[in-house]
Amino acid sequence: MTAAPTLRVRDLSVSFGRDGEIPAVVGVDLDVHRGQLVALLGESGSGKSVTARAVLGLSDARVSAGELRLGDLDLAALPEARRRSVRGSRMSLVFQDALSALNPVLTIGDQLGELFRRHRGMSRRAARGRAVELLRTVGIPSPEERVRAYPHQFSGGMRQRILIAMAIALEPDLLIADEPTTALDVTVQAQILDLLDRLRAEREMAVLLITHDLAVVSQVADHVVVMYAGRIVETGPTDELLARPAHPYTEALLRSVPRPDAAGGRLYAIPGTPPGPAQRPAGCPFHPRCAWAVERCATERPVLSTVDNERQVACHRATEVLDAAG
Amino acid sequence: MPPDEPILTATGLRRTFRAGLGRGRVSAVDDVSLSVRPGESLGIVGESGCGKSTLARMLVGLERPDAGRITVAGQDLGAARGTARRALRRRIQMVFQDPYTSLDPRLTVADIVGEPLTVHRVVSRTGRRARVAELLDLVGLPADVASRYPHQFSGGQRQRIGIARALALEPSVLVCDEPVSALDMSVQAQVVNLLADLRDRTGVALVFIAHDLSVVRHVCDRVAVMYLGRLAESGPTGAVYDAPTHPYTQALLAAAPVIGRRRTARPPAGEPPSPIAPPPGCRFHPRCPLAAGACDADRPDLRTAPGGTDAHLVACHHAEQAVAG
Repeated sequence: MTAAPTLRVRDLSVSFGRDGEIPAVVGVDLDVHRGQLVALLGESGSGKSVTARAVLGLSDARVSAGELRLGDLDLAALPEARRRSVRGSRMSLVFQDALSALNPVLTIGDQLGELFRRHRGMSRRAARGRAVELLRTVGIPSPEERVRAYPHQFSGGMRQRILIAMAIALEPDLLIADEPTTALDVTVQAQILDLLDRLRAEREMAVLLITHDLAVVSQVADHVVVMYAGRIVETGPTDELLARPAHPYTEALLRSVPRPDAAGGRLYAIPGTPPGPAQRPAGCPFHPRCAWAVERCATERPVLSTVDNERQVACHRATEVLDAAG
Repeated sequence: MPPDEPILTATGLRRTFRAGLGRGRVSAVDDVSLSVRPGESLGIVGESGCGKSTLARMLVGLERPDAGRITVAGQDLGAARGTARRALRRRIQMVFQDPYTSLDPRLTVADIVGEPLTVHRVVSRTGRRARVAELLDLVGLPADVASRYPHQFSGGQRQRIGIARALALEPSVLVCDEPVSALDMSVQAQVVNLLADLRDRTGVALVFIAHDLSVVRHVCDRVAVMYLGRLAESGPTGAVYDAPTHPYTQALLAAAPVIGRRRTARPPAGEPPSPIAPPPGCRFHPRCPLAAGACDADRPDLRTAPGGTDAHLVACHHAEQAVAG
């Protein structure tokens, strides 16, 4: 893709603590193009959600970025008031926990309508009409009646649909979905993933999906960015990356997932646990758990470098890992 | 007892809860029967609200069934009293889902793992220390962690502590309620392997409750699929996964994401209805693509699945049609 990306992030770092001594995210580069679904994959503490919040400008930690652009807009240079109006209209967020993201004392219609009244200056009646339309778009049955209902009157899956409706209401260029299906059952998860996929295609939205679920990534993402301990360790087109992982972490994760053809045997288990932001090991952050680690890995941190046309990996032994993957 | 005799059986278990004033009763588990043999692992899968956790809690005695019978090694748990009941209850232990809330933060690991020994007065004080070290070793933790507190451990390690506690009384059956779903994905495999190892080494039977279909397939010999409080299908894991005969099982398997497979089938429409007023007849009929005729009135009973063995059961009027696709 040669067109300018909808979201372009270069060298994004976020740190916590009074003096910013705890680095949560370090040196993240990210591109999401129009109509593309990019998955940010990582475990808890990998920095994936922190990255998303920093992009949206919702982070109260120290954020620094070489570049942070939404289309032609330089987000980093934007004053907070402007940034707030961009948030919600040109980029929006779908949270994981739909019950706590919705206001329990307002009807769904009021919450959806507020977007149009505030950002578009619509009348109450017109805003209500648009709310009904949106609920229909995201597949809520009998929207004319449901628009008057309160959040607790909906099931988890329906609430997630409502959050998605709110996020797409003002036709944003970029939708960030933070674990949107983690709390849902598999049949409902499949429906929500279908919905996201359909909306992305119809509206040519750029979607950044934050997830820990390899199978979800495999199903819906065009491009994957794998994070570990606050850094990107591997990135590439989904099918290639999952078929031939080049980073030992990705490879180990894929091997540890139970497969139907190997039922009953032992699963491959990665030793140890992911490090917290305050105790990240020197050198490659994955080296204490890595089956490929050599002496150099403990001292010298590998930089993210290109191994194939669209593949980037941060590993000293990336080519060997890639060759071993066949 | 011959090894083929089930160590744990449940027959016709039923449990309802009050849903609040004037809102009727929630039918959480309705007429569920199952059995586990020593050293066997039985998976129970289903979506949230299907009653799988209530079922687990009844099996370990944390919840009293409204109706039905649970036997342990052939003895009726409901009929037993006093020490006899305690002795039976000891043989079924539970591993909880959330390792962060199921361990007392103010107790050391030695106290947590040793508490069942004290409660059941199994060993002396000195014997207890040795037994705790043995249990910690069994779950792959070094003995020197005994004096530490839960907050000093990661999720995976805490789950190991919870498993060590469950094993303290040398149970015959370990009921695991979503034992890995709260863990980081790179740690899940460690705990899955540990449970499988413990089964193979100690002969403990596993009742493995999970919403993650791939984990259950990996660990379990047999699987039971629950929908809205009832069993939809049960049988040998390979048969149920490779040749599902209930439309719900088929939908569940089709909806579960698999690495390297782009989704092809449409997910089933709608969501599980409320268990407060479950649909009459087959509880799946409002969402079922094959629903016709008697489905909304006659409750389908479990019967031998078409094309399957005696062990493969399905509760569907149209299973033949479901198999034919």
